[in-house]
Amino acid sequence: MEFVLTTEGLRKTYRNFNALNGLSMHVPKGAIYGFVGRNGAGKTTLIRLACGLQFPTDGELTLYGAKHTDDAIHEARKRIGAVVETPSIFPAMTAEENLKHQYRVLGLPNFDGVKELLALVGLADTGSKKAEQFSLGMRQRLGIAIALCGHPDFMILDEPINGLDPQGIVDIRELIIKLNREQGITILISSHILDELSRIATHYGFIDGGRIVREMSADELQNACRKCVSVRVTNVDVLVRELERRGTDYTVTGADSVDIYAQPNITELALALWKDKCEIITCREQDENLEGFFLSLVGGESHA
Amino acid sequence: MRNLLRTDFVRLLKTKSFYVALVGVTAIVYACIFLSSGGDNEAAVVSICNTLCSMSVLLVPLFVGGAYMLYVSAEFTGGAIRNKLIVGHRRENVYLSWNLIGLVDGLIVLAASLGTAALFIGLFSDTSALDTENVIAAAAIVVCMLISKLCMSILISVIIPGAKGMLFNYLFTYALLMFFVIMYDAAPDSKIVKILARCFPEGQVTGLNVSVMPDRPWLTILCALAFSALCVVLGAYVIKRKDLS
Repeated sequence: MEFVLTTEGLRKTYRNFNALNGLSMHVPKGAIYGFVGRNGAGKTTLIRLACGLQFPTDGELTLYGAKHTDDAIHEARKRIGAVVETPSIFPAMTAEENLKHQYRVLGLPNFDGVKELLALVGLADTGSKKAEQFSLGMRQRLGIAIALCGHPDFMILDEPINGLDPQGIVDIRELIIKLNREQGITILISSHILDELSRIATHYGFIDGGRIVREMSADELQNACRKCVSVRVTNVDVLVRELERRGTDYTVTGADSVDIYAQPNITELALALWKDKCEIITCREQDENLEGFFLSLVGGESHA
Repeated sequence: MRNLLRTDFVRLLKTKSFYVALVGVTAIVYACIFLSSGGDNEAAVVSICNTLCSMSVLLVPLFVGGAYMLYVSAEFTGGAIRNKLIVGHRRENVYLSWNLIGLVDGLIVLAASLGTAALFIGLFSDTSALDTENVIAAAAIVVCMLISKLCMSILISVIIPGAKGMLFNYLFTYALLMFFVIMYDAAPDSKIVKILARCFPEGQVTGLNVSVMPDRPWLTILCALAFSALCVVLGAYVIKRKDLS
């Protein structure tokens, strides 16, 4: 498999804080790589290192075959576009002026494609409106348009749907899928909104405490997401005690609900619970979602 | 590098602070001429030129440097510098480009204000009392002081971006002025103070005029340019190691 970005044992230390702690990741060419992690897990730090905004304390980062210490990394970076945290724009310029500015930064011979880019991100009608008057969603779109200048092969998007309204989220999702499928752009996307990520990602990297705890394809994730039986009862303590006695995996999901990772005989279970006057209110089978899987990976509230 | 220079120059021409500095400095220069003019006799012309010298050696660099700090800081505060680095531009090239465009900015403002003022004086006044060599030496020192101040201002805006950096720049200017006033009085023969005075505009405020040839102008030019180069090297080093968010 060909990789666009790889890191091996990457470390980044800020004074006494280890933001990245030996992180190793592999972004395959042509993938939409969902980068999943809690706040402070090190997602943005990794993105900053990949973009050359910061330098690793230790370890190795390779972009298109060029190590971060090589001179060739500057050439490799010409193939990427990125939106890191907040979009990098000049507030006093219009959307078109911002794009033209980036065209000059890239040394493109003319401004062909500026209008198309604006149309692509839904900012074609902004005219002479300054970027400082844009909504958060419009700024986010402008940031993406700037990242798309020069037709990059690899896009890095850090929380691109933060602050977007539902329609904006759908638009950005469709845009990402379009860029990936029609233009073959590899995309690394970090997001807290796991459900949204699960709709587009082809590969995942789960990060916790500054290191990748698991990398997998969307198919592998689908297989790994265990089916469970979600049960609501009148006394969750009684149910937990019974499940512990049986040695069954479970997760307490609420004051009166538990997810059971097995196919229990409901009649037997109901009879056992009834001995302690505990009733089953509802019972339904469900698949574990990305959120649940993530929590089980990073040690959320699940028990084994 | 060429792309960066082109980008920065086009942005400079679209920046409000550039025009504010241009109009502001030109207005101040012409106001000084009108306020200090007492006719077009030889003595009046020398007087106007001396006023322009002492004013332009500090005020113009301070004004232009301050305005240019806004220009540089905008890249940090808006995060636009990231767009340059992400696509592979070297940090030292980004920094060098800021310095070169800053120099162009300063020279444009200088040409529009002092340049046109000098042209008017040359065309419409009796300049026979002016010594050409003195005027050239003074003009060269003014240009070098402008370069020195700009390089230092850019260095400060990289170390302390935003309004804090501007505030520091003005406080530092004031502190330097006080330093030289006190040191000229306390240690008038100190070689260190004299060398320092040749590096900073603040050290030239009282000494520069067109009536007498400045003391070893070539040394002042050399010191100012060496200090500017040091600021550029130091700034490139700082930005090369700086973690950007």
